Amino acid sequence: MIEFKGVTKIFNQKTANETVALKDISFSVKNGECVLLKGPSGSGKSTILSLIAALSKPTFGEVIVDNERVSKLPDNFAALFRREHIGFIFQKFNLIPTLTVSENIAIPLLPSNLSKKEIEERVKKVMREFSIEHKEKMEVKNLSGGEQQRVAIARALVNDPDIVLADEPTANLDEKLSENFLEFLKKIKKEGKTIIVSTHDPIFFENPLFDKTLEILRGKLL
Amino acid sequence: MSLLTPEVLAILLIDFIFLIFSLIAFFLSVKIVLKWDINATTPLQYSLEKQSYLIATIIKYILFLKIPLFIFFIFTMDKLSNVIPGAMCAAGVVNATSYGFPLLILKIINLYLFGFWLILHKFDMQSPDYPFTKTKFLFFIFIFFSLSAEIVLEFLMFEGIDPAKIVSCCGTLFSAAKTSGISSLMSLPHAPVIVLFYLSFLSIAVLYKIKNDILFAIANLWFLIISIFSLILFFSTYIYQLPTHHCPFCLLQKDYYYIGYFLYFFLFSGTFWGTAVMFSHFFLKKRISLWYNFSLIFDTLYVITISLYPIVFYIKNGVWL
Repeated sequence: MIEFKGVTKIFNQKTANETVALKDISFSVKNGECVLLKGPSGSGKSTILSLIAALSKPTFGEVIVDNERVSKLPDNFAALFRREHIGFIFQKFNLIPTLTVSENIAIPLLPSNLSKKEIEERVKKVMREFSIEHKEKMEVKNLSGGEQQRVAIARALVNDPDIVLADEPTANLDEKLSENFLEFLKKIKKEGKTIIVSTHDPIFFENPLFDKTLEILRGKLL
Repeated sequence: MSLLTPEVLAILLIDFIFLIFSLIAFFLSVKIVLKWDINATTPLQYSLEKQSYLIATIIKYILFLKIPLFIFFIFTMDKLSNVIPGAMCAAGVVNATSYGFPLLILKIINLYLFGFWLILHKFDMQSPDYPFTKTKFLFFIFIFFSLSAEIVLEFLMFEGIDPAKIVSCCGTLFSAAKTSGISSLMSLPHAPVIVLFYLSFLSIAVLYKIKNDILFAIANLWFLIISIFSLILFFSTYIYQLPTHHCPFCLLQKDYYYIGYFLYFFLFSGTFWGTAVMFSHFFLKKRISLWYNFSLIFDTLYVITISLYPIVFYIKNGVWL
């Protein structure tokens, strides 16, 4: 269960560049729900995702994920929480271009206590799932956009997270690849994962895959 | 200030920077101690949580720089003995003003205090609900006053040294002939102090087996004191191979292969980890065996190194000094 309780997020507080990204937001997402977070650019969608992933803290209010007050977690525990619970798919994929496909996917597992063999097995499993095992040794900078996206998704899922957050996942993809992404969402939804997709891509709107739609405008839920 | 050598200037400058940063940390610590409420979800609490990281970073940097700075301070004291008439080593310079010895003791105490603060900080960071945040910043407020006193004493000492005034050399300072606290120490009989020294070490070894945190910490504290007494009174004469030379500073010089740096490192490290077990006892309510091991290893290294001097001397010469 993800809960936002009266969350306000202000960037550059008390400076000339003060920006109110979220204003007194409250909502909840049940475990296993697939939620569409829609709104124009700059409306606060990415801020919501970063708060759920404990990548940033609110200015006011509280974020609770699976009974854990993530907005109160110290940085080292926030990192641990992300490693165990969150899979994050970024708009620009955020892959390390000079590393190979398998090295990029293995990154979330490196701080864990898993043996080298276990890490290799997990990486191979997700590479098989997303049909990229034949590119295992290739540097990601040499991959196409669609392939890079599959690597990014594989990396987000390699730690078997309960919650998958996708921030504008189809912004850099053509229509066919966007449809492939929807297929991927269907698949992980069946696995019971909680999914939040932030987007302003109409391909997602009115899709029966989503249990709930949250619309945000200028930092406020509509 | 008539003794503004580059080394003195560097020490004063760095300490001034420490003072500025620790002043920031002090004010933020006071704010945290007064306003901290971990359950609050207010902007103030979130801001305090962020600021607690800032203070911890400042304190960590100060500690990590204070360790080499302390060694540099001793090195500077030793170097200044070349320009102060009468001084043969750091002892003469330290004793040139009445602030010298209190400063030296305070510097050592502050190093221990900063180390203990880091331990408390480590414990605090091991739990997601910041259990010792208020305690550690309250502790820092105390350390701040101690650090400020150290910096003031340091300034007064350097300011008070008159390069034209003849000071006593270590041979005079650490002799039974003078009437001072140190000379009364020199007149103590050797045998009981040596027995006490080895008994103290033995008690540490026994308590290491028994694993009683509080007694182990007390034994280490006692071992630190008795080690310095026995070093001045007995072991130093074997390092210098002179029955009248008791200085605890000359052994830092090149003539004695800088052995003092190793000896003090072993002694301070061993007793630091030994006394630190008390923190795990009171705050974590659990025993950290690794600290016991560190303490015993360093204490043992100290005892072996220092004991080798009289033993080797006796083997070579067939007599005790």
